[in-house]
Amino acid sequence: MVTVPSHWYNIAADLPIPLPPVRDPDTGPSRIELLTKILPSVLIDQEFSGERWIPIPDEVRRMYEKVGRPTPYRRAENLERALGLKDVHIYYKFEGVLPSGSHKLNTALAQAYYAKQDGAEEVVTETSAGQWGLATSIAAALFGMRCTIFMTRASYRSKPQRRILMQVLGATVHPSPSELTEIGRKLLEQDREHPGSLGIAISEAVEYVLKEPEKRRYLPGSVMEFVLIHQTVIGLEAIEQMPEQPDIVIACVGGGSNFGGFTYPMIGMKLREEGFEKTRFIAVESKAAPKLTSGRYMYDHPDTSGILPLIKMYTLGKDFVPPPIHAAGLRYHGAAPSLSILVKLGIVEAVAYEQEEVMKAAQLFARCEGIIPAPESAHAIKAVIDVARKSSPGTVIAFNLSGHGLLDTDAYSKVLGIQ
Amino acid sequence: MVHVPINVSSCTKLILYLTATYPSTATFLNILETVSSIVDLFEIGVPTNNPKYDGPTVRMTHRAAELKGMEALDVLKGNVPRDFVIMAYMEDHVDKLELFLKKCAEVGARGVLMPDLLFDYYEMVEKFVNECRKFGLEPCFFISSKFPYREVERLVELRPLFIYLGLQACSGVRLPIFIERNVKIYRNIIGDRCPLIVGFAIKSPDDVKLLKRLRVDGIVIGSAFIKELSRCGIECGLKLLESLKRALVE
Repeated sequence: MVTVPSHWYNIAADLPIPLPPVRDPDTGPSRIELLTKILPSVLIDQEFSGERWIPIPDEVRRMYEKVGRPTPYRRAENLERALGLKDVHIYYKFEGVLPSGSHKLNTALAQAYYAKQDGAEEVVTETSAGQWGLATSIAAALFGMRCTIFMTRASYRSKPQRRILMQVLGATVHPSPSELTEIGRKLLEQDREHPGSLGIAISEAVEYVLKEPEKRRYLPGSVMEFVLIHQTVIGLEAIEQMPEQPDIVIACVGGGSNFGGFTYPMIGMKLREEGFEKTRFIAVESKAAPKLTSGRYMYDHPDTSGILPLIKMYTLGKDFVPPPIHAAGLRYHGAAPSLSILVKLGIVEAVAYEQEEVMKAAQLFARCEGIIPAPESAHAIKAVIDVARKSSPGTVIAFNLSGHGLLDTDAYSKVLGIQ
Repeated sequence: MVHVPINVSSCTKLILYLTATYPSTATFLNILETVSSIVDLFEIGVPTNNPKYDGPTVRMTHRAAELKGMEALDVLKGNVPRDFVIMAYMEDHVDKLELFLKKCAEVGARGVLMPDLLFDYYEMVEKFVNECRKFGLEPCFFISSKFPYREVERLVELRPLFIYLGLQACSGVRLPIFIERNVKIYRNIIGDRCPLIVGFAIKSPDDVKLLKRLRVDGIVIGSAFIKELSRCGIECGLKLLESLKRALVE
């Protein structure tokens, strides 16, 4: 019987080379110092922790159980048959069973818990597709806190379902760019129909927190190392659930929390020579935001306005605004520093796909396995299908189905021409 | 020059960080002389235009230093009354590393610490060590609070003068980081095989007492001293160092 892990895993302890430190830019006040006014204090500690295994507080573990962890790990036998595979096995971990419909709740619960410990009354964040916003709204509701969300304008309009659910849960949701912040007003002056981006929404959320730092805490949905650390419950559970060790492990990448959460416990074992020695790890991104396949490895801000410290990562530049796509959760300019290092070293491979081919793969998966995947997760499915078709008999593939797409009917109707 | 052994022992050393020729060459030399009876070792930064991994206080000293680069190094020759190590960014010297290390040796440095070596120039670690040894310098390594365990082992094997653990994200800025845990992790990995010194945002006797209990071999004071210097001159800086030294020997 698999249980909720007692610890999170911190891959920093096992990386082949060290993570470059966060940095302040050359001018202006110290962004590093500013973190104390923005983030819950324990999260700052976890960001700079040398501990390989970080204990999960009992209350967070109970919350994990309450929302349905451990999540299932299943074999996609119908997909295998549909692809005509000969003795190639495909498995998936399904995070879509959580009440948020995605993996995002794993860190939202931990972050809200720590924010409350700090005495905060309100949690503030950004969201694009709405998965992170919904997860934060649920976590805030469970811990009895107010919640304010800056949702990229493109998604605010195209994905009203998740916005409505956030509001049902008690959150206040603003389209980003908004009139509430200086950066929002500046961008709206330039373009009243600005689609927004995750980078802009992060900037707005942080600026909003800084207006009342004693009451508010900012909760980031990805990129920061502590977010990836919290998400490792996915991979730690999966390792316990696997009937056979995979040869290829695949997950999609927005900022890296889904990928890191699923793969890092396995990559860690590989780096420590405790297992998964021959396993390949593939990160799948959108061609609309191809930081891992076309970005530069350099110091950049995780947010558009440069309020947060510089981190070294693969980036398309903080001012990059990805075109609106259905997988809004992948519309981000950078990738987590640890993932960036792993890609740079060749330990993780990266591929990028166009939206259309991804959504076709999603449809095939839905018709085989009865689960409609989120457009983000469908990127992983597309890679799984491509890899499986080229695999020799005996190959085992595992991927993380990070969320369901039950609230993404707009995406499916447009791309697949379904009325 | 007074030589104090830096080794694994029950006696924690007091190390003072100064940026060469800050706030002026004359005052810098005066500081060295004034505090030399209290300080066990000096860490002297080579002023640079890009002190990228430093916090706001140390950055300010780099910008305000009277001389920059090699010129600032020249000032040290025969003027540092205690053992000292040079702190410089590899980024500034990567194209002429041999020349730079030769200069460090000429001015009497005992060792060299390059805080960006292990993060931005990892492939150059062995070259750095070999070049240091060629000129009779002892290599020193800076690690962060989330440094890979296996790589720390590798550094120990290279027999540095010390390994310097940055307790915070950058110098002089205190974040809510559980430093006891991080120090214990790296002390356990390193064991007694190599001196472990720590720095960043250490400013009070209580900080020093805590770190001494954690069996570190040296503590580096930087931003706190510079702030005292800016506030009311060398006398205040001296008083701070005296209070920290008392906490160390109590």
